[in-house]
Amino acid sequence: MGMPIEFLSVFSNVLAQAAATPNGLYAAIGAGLAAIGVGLGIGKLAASSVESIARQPEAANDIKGAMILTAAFIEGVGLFAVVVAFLAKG
Amino acid sequence: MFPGTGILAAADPMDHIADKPLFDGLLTDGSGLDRISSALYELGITKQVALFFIAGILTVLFFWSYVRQIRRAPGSVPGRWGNLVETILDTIRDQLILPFMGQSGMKFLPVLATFFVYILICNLIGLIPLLDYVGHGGNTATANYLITPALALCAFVLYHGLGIKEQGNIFTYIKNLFPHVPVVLLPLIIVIEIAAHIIRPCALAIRLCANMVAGHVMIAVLLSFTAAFTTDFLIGGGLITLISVIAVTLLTFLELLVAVVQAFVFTFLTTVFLSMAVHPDH
Repeated sequence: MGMPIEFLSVFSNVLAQAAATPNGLYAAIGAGLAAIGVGLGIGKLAASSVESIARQPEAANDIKGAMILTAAFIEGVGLFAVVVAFLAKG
Repeated sequence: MFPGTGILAAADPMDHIADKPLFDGLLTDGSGLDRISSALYELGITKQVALFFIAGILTVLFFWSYVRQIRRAPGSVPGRWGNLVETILDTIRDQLILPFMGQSGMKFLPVLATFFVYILICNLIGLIPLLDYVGHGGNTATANYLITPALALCAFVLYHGLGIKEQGNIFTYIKNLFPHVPVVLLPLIIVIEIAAHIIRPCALAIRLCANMVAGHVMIAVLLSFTAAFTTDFLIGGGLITLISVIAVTLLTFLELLVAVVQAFVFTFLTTVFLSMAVHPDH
């Protein structure tokens, strides 16, 4: 079963099911870790784009367009990880 | 009862976007519609494939009146609908084609505009609220994990085919695929470039499909809070319903943005790959 299951044995009935088929639990942990990465990436993107809009408000439209576009790319990477988690689940 | 009552209280949110036969659940008593839908399902036409065809017809209709006006009187001022079409075409020209391919890339404007409008219409059909009642399945064609790879395959064939056509013959094209590096690095570069060329259409397909699936599953999960709570606690269920409906409304606005952005990202990446295939400047 693995160490993580025994460590969290305080939540008994949830883990009775998860211990029998740990695939779903591991997949959910993997998807959650991917969400951490996406959050960090888009947070850094938002911080630098808002700061550059504050420095130069005339370029606001170009910066907004670039921000939405690159946010879609970073989110795409996170969704690749979610797809892998789905495939690993069952 | 009403056809499709099972939807809002569906046990499985993934059921909300799964693909089903065309009129599934509408009339299941062996009547004419039921037999039509099973016959079509044998051919492979499910609800999402039928909506994909309808989106194709709508794409042709999208450009129809504008093209007819411009063909009749070139240079005339477009009307209201033509203004929208021209906005989309101008955005594709100024943001996608001119920065990457220059003026000589203008001959690729029709195919890139078609990709953009087709995927946009497919995504937007998925947001029409009660189209779920026509059958049991989902109505987002681009949330189907078999349709988006078909679109990505079209883009793949497009940019490689146009690259071969622009550079004369296939041998020149293959020689230009790999950057010119010292011979010692060449095996590694060949492996990396082939892997990149295979992964790019897969990434296009997965990005579009996963974005659509994730958005619709979120909406289905938030909606199912209503059913789950109201069956047990009536008063608390009312409050949960209010929160859930507000959240679903906001999520649907976000999904509108995601629909447009994902269509634009697909077209953007196809343009970048096309520019790399047509003008390799290593």
